[in-house]
Amino acid sequence: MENLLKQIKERLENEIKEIKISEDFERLEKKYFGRKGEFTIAIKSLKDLAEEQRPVIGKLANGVKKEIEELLENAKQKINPIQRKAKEFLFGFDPTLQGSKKELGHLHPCTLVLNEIIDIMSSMGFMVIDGPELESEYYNFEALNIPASHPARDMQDTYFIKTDKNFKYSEKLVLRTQTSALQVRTIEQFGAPLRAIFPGRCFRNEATDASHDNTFYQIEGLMIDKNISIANLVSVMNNILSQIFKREIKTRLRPGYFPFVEPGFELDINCLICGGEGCSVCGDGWLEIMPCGLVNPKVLEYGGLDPKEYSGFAFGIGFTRLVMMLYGINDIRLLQSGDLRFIKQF
Amino acid sequence: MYISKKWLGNYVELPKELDSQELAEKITTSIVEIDNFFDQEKELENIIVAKIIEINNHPNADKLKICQVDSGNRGMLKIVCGGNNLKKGMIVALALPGAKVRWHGEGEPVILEKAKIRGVESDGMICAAEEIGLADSYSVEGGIADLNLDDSYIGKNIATALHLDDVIFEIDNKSLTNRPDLWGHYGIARELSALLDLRFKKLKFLEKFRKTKGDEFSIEILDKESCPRYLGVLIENIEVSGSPQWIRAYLEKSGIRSINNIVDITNFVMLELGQPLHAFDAKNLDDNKIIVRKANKGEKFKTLDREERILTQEDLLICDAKKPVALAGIMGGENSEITDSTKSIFIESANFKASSIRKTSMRLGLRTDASARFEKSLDPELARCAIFRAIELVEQLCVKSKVVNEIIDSDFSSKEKIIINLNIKFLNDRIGCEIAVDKIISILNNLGFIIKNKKTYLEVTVPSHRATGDIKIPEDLVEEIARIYGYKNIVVKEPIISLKPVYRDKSIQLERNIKNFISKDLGYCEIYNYSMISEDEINFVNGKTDNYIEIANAVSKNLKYLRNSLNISLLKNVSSNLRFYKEFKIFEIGRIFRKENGEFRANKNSKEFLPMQDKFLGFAISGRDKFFELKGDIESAFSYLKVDFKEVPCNNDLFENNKCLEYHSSGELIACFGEIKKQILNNFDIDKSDVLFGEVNFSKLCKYSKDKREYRELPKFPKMTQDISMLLDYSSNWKDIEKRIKSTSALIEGVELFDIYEGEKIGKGLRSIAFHVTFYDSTKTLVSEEIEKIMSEIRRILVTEFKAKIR
Repeated sequence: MENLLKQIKERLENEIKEIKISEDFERLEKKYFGRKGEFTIAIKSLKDLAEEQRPVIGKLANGVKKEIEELLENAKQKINPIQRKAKEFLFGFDPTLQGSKKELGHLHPCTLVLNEIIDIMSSMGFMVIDGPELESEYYNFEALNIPASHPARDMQDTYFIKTDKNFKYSEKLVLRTQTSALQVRTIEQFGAPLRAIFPGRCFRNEATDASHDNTFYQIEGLMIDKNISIANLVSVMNNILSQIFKREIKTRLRPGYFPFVEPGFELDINCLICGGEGCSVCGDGWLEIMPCGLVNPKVLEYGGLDPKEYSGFAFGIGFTRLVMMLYGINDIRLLQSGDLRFIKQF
Repeated sequence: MYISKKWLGNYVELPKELDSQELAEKITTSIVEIDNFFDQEKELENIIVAKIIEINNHPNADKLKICQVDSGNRGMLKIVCGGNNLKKGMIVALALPGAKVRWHGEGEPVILEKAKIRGVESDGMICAAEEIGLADSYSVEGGIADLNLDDSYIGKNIATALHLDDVIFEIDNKSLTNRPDLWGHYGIARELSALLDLRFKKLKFLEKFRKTKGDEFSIEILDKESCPRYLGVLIENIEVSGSPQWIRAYLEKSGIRSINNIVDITNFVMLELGQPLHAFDAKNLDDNKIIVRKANKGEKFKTLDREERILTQEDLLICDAKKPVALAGIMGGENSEITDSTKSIFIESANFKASSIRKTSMRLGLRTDASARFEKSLDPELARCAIFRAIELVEQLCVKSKVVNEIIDSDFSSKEKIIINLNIKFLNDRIGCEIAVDKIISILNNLGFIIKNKKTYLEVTVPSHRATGDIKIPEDLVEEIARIYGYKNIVVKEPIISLKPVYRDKSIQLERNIKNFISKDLGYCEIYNYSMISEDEINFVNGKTDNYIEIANAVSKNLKYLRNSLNISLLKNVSSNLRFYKEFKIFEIGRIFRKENGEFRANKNSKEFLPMQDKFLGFAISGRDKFFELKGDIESAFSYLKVDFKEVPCNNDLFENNKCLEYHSSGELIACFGEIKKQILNNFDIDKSDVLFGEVNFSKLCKYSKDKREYRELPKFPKMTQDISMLLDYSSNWKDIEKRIKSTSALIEGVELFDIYEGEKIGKGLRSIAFHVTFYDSTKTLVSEEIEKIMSEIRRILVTEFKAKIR
């Protein structure tokens, strides 16, 4: 065994001297360290040795491995074709050879779109607020006018947190199902008038497929002031959407029901693919994009505001869907896959 | 839910010129969302009724036949057909070229063309039910639809012949959750009358019906909260049979299969009014008695679908004197269902508490047309209308039937009226435009509200069909008026706001900056990972589940715990990416969760704080010899955010012995990094690479980040630099030496390492270290004697305190 390892090392030393181009190097690396490489096989046979021999030979093998790796590494640097050429211009100079570029990292597509939306909203005087993802039932439901008996609280949609005598809370804790949970927190903190967005991660306890995930991102927006009306809401929504999509967007409101707004709407935009003619993506020419509505007076009261004095509107941007739409991503699960082949495209 | 345009026409006369597309749009933008609509006449164009006259074998195919078909005024046609139930004299659906058919009932419809089939020309196609979307009752396995019509229909359009000259609207049930009044055609028609300003043709309910005297029947409600109202009626002399064509057509359009006349009547009334009914075979009800009560724990009951259900004390049961006969509001029992031999029936029209029905239906996973309606909070008055309507239809379909005694009405529902004062200015302010008072009143009247005009405000009485939770406050009326007025008619108006600058959250700004820095300057790729992890993964990093917050109702065991570090997710990322890349750098910023108290209050009035959920910044590098690269990257991030930090040696289960380091700021731990243990890497199937992992408490980092930059005067005098080279063993750390050197004199501005070497030549266990020492005095030019004095002191310290050999 000992001899075998030494032989391998010697052979490699000789072969390395012969290396001229990088392909040779790769061939050598494979020959010794590949799945069926000489060194790999030698290491595998370690387990056939007697118990007391193993540590000794193992240590030796490790030493040899390090030396060989070092040899290979040195050889690699010598044969780097670009470096060699750059140093060895003897008869002229070729400025078109590849420059030594630094490899840049990549931001997640959600970060890119979020930054843009934050810029748009900041330019319209909305502050950006971050908050807890693990939330109390109070802020996630009750303060949003979703009482205990409401279907929205059903077990199947919400992740509840397990508590016990060592981890005790006087109310249930949930993974927030919507960033709307920040509405009342923010009203409590800042009062009125108020303009804010709450971007963040939300959770739904549901099965995943190409268009549903248990984790997704939302941007909730809230504006409270004196005499805020439906006419104002439409105006602000149109402005935001035109900024996001970088063109004039046609919108329509239709009735929608969410306990924390009254009246509540679904806001549709003219389909970006067919321009409103109707196609296989949108059906009738409209895409549902933003639930919104005038803030329910109950929510204002929970936040400590007088609904006679103030009114407001709230809206939710289905952020994950928006990102998918803007980049044409067809599987929601890619966003949380950590796959660099995906991330490096952005 | 399916809504038939023709059926709507019974209660509101829709203008002929209003096309279905436009109608669908109007309903969607003012009432409920229409998912889709089918114009049956258009779908069935070029499909006619025809009669098979002759059947011959196909010369080239065993399974095909060649039929001579009478198509009325188009004459005799030759059709190739493969149906297994072809008969001479059969009346069939014949699709002519141009018709839309679905091959074998699947896929998108295609336009039929004249074609040769195995060498024989066919003038069209004899269709199976699923090929042209006929109801299930026409469906025959492997066969064509037998229309069962007489010869007078030959040559007619099939749409006309089968009463399929209708448009069906498919409503998204989700958009109906808050509207219990819209779960039948009648309710939708009422809305359309308001929307299109048309007369609403109210149903008139029978005042007199055929009656007989008989034994007393009684209803006893033991749980009045769960069942505020229960009406029942006993009807004798019933003949159970098939329903007439008109009822069957209505049911089929709504997607409900015809069963028999009695069951069909209960379904018809449900589809018309939205009130579910149930009919029992009265002979199976013991002692002429109905008792409404909660089930006993573990009580068993077999529902109509032949499933035995095990109940809890939360479930509501309809019972007779001895036994349960229906699972209230959800499904009847097998023991009392209507059969062909049923002679007398008991019809139930009741009102149940929505949450009770919903709980039971969810727990049993048993959702029915009835439960879908009851769980929306139906109007108790509707139960009364529905029973009258049902009696009227039974009289009509069973001509000898007679009601025994009277309708029994056990009514405990609240009769309190909801009255809302609607201020006109408030209304216009909320909508954002002026709507004339007359218009407001007419909209509300058309929707069934009763109005008293009090000049500055309207006193609005909410009709019972909107009073079960749907309409309570003035804002609800704002919606009624605005949606009927038309959202598209509201003129858009920009809000007028104060120009006061808003609060800017420092951590949001810093997060964005650091992400840019880490990706663009340090070359990392950003990852978003799930917050949930599995027990196995916790074991992989030698963790204890006690230290993780657990999800109580996780569906998958892979998502049972909340991460308390970014380590698991990033190691998984490394493992999966090693298939495609050898060396890479990734990072993530995300919240982690720990059982200790965090910064957010559980609610305003509580002293409790939610569990700690700080944002963490995690780094991972795959490759060899990356320890100092990661160290440099983390320290660069600190410098970028202007955070003061101190290195502290540490030991940690995650990292190889001694190959890790902590950073503290203001005495608090803010970061930790190191080389992940081989054993842990094995658990993640990583064997080809080392992994360096580090994580920084980003929330704390933001706290310690200083925005201040300080200016110091540029040096007026020259700096001086001296070098020292020495041999040293591993008994002391460089950091300690560096610190000690700096402490020798205030004139030392910096100590900088520039060479380290280990090798055979200098001896085992030793390292050669070389560094610069820079001197500066802000008051004068340094003189070399001064420097030499300090240098010799440094050398002395190195030799005596660190056992160094100066070279």
